[in-house]
Amino acid sequence: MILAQAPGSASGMLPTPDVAWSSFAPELVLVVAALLLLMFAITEGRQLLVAIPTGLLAGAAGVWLVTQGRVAPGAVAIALGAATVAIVVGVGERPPLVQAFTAGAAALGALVLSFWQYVAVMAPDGGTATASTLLGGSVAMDGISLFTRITVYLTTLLVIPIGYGYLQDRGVDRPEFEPLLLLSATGMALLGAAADLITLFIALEILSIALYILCGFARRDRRSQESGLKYFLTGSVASAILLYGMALLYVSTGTLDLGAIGTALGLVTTSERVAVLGLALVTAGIGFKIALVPFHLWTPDVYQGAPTNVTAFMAAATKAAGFAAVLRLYLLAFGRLEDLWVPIVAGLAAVTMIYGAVVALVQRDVKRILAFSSIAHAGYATIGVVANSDAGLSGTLWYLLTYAVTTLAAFGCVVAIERRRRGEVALVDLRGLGRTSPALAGILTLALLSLAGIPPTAGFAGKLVVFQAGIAAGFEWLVVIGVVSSVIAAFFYLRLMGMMFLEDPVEGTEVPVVSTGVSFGVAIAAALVIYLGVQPGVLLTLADNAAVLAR
Amino acid sequence: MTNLLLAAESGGHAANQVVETTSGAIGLAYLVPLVPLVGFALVLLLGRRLRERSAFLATGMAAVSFLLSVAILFQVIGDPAAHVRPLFTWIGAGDLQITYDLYIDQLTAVMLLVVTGVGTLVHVYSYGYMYGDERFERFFAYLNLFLFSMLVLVLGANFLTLFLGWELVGLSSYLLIGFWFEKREYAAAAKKAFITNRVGDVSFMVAMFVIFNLFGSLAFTDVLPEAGSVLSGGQATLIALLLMGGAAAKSAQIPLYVWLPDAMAGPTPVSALIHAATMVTAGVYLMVRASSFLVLSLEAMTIVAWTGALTALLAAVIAIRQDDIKKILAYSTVSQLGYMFIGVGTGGFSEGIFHLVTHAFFKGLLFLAAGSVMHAMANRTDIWKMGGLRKVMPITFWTSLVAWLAISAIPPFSGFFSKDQILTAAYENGFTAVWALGIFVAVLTAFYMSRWFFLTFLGEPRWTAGEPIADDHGGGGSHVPGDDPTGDAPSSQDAHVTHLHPHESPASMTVPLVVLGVLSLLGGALNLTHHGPFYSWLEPVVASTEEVGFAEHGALTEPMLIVISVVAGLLGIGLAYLAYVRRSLRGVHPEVVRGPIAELAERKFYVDELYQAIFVRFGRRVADGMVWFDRTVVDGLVNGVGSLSTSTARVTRRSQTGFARGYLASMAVGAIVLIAVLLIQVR
Repeated sequence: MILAQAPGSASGMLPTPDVAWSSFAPELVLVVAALLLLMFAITEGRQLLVAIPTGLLAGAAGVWLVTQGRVAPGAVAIALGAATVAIVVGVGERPPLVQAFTAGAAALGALVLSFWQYVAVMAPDGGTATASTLLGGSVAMDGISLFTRITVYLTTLLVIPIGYGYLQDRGVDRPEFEPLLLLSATGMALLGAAADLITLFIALEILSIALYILCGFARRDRRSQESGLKYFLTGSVASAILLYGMALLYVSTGTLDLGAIGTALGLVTTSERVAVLGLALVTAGIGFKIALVPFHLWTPDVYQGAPTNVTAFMAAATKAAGFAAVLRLYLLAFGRLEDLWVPIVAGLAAVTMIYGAVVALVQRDVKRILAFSSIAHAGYATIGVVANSDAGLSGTLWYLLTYAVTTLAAFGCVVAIERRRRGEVALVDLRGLGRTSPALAGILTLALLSLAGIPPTAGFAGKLVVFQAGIAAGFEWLVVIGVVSSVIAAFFYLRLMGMMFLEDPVEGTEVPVVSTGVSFGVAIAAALVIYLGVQPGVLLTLADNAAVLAR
Repeated sequence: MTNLLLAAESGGHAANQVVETTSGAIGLAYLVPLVPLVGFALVLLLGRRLRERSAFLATGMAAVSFLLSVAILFQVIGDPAAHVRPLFTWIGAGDLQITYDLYIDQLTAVMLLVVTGVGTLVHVYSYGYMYGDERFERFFAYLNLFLFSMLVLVLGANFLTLFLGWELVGLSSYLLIGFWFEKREYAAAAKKAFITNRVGDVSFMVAMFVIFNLFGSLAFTDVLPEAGSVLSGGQATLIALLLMGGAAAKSAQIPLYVWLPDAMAGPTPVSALIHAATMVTAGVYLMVRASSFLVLSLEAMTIVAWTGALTALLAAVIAIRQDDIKKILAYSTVSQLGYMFIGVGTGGFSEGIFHLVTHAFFKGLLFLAAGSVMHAMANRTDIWKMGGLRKVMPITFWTSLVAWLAISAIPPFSGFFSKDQILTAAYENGFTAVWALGIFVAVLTAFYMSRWFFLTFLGEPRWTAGEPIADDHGGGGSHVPGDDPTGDAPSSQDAHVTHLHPHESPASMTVPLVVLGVLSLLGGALNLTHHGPFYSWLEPVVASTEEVGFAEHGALTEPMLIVISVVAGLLGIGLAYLAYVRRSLRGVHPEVVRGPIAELAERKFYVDELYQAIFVRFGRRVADGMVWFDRTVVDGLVNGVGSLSTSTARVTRRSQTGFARGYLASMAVGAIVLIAVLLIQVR
């Protein structure tokens, strides 16, 4: 296959399995980086002992790849190997910085490799991508996997600098944070690529278990403990329900492959009742991950309690991965049952949009407000799923990317504010922020405008595409509800802005800490919010080209 | 060769060839508006530092513009064609491609000269008139801005760029009329001018929509030559009348003339600039530019002609009973613009433009002379409190004499030729009633202008030197003595002391008077006979009227028409002489025009009150209704939605108990409901 160079098999020697390395090259980078970071943690003080061999190995592998004609991945491997050594040599006396830089480099490498996958493997001739399943049909290479990777890795890349100083301030900058983050990102990317039920479930567990720990990472903080525990309890139940649903699907169709399930569900020999039971349970289980009402109740508590950088990561990346699984499941596996699931998911989307917007009105905590806003946004993204079309598919993928950069900018600002407040950020804490730190308030305003869907921000471009897809598919009523929900939501976004700019600062309020890391992450996110809003063309075309499903 | 062919096609009517020109003076034509714009910016930025030197800067900019215009005129004379100077694409959106081009033909050249020429003179004059005003620099900045706006207007190569200048003129006229905005009624006058013009703008815009809809383009070169083949009669009438609506606002025609008399609130040079040379000519320019539409519809032309005639009549009647030195001139402007519209409406396009040019000379002169008088009389404006100024200010007197005879259409002054040719065109194209009305208005014109002249300059002084005066000047706090920190104020400064000492104005004011006086005297030489050189010069620009289908004209020959209009002018002057000079010789100074109609005229036929009642009060009612609707219905709805959402939220948030067991229960219930719904459907 793509990278399967098996020279021995022709000459009758031991059969070598075909492994399409290219299909999970970015994840490979992340896993290696996670292991490397753990090694760093163990060998504290003698990190060069680990860094030099790793660097040499990576360099050698890179050179080999280049000689094989795989120039881009080879270059990435060499660069990462060199970067590892350089980082340890450069900032070796500050271990947290080594961790952050290494993890960031790995995320960047994974992002580059994701684009390489598109350019070299999916669409070597440019234009529309071709989809394929690899590794015995368990991993897909298509638009969903591509966009999920882009969103997840971009989020990882930005969340690392945003959270660096924050974790130090809270005294929880332990070395396992970055490995867990990278593993979670790996799980998310795999979830986006999973083409059978087993891979899907395993990917879901990889990302979830890492996140359970991350949510409770500030272990001396009761709210963080509560967050981790609640997420774990409810998440395990959701996993159990999902697993049960998958089992029922296997019972009715006799296959684990999503495409094959889709084909089998149309056959008369398939027991529809069992299949429908499976559909219902899978909907409940996956609805938990993307926080659709009524499976959403964990979201505000978990988002509020978790360290804010973890919250940002969850809101931006987990949502994208969860929706990737939803798109693949519903469009591919449940394609023949569309008469059954489309109205139900549409109903869930409607309730979710309204609920998220309305309940946010009476919240006082900024993180909680953003949590409810993320629920409402899950509803908007679901419109693209319900549209059940290529336009809906690319619309949802695009929407998730725009939401990710927007919510990163918003949470990044909250991180900066929270670093002084040590804990909660209440609505009143924003008072007069426009006067005390205008740049931060400006960026937060931009992010809020984008969340509200005001042009020329990314949020507007995202909503526009999803709503268009919804209308094209005949879901005018759903789009109307979406617009009404946006109007209601605009109220509390505007109230936040009003707090910042129209009210006087409270006496003795400390100015938020804006460190280099936070400024870096937030500035890039804000720039992307504007760029995607003003020039949506480039990535939107990519989303359109990538609207192919691996069947 | 092509020219000949075109001429043959249009039945002997020579049409302009369209040429793209980027060389010579026309290649630099963009500098004509740009230079005053730069002046505006510089004076605005550096005004505080430049102080009165900013007048030299602004005047210099205007003069450069004028010299460029002269160069352009010579190039157009050498190569008579419709020159298009492409600059850049302004708006590109699908089918709508608007390029920013300059369009320079014979008509443009004439307009450029009038605008920059009179404009430059007004700049020079303003140095003396505005000296000592606390916003002296800003006045010159605005003058430059006004010039820029007007030049954008006349140079536009399509309706949209013309409209851009049109709007800019509206803005800058607002700034200038309300220059002394400290006085409430002056600010109100500026607002009135702006709003009245907006009404016309809407009409113009609709006209543009229709044109774009029918032609798919707004460029003159695409639209005007095709007008005859594309449009049906009804469409042509519609477009012509919509354009007329826009022109009626800028050029002060019934029913939108009301802003012009109030616009006297601005400093007097502004009146000269706006009401003689620039703004009010924009409407006439537009109508002549769009003559291709007019000639397709006799109905539209008839309406334009009658609008002009009635405006001329109404304004002339009102002018007879005005006592304000500037108000009389304002109404006379409205009346003269009516003549120009008579020209346009009766097919005398070139004649209309000719009158525009001579009117710019003599009306500019009249306003500047009035300003000079006000300057001398400490801003007194009531002509009944003047008289005998002939000896005190000889230059102003002699130049005013020229202007008075010109506007009264006495040969050989310029006004005679242009006005007579308009009326001749009207008569020859079968508008006998309009012609008769025009002759009657000519009598009235000569009468009220003579009244203005006699009461101001002749007779015994009705003032005493040294009498204490209340400064009824508009500028609150402006023209305060000692305002000038340098201390070497020119003689104009002593006009603003509290005792009356009439005197001749400084040279910066009298030189423009003399220049305009010469032009008013000799301007007629441009076109001494009806189809003279000016007529043939403009002929390729304006549409041929051969296809219109005018009615047969009466039996009078051209010499007889000339005699009639000369007699009309002399009659008016003679009546005024009897009424105001002979009687004042006997020491009696009552108003001779009396009776109910005169009272009506003095009250301006209650048009302002009527508009107030109809539009303002009605508008206020509607606005009150809207406010009520907004407060109760819209706000109520919004607040209702808001409180509904909040109360819903208060209930729903209770689901957020904080207990994981509750969350799990919700999931379980949700899953069960899903199963139930799905199973019911598949059964």
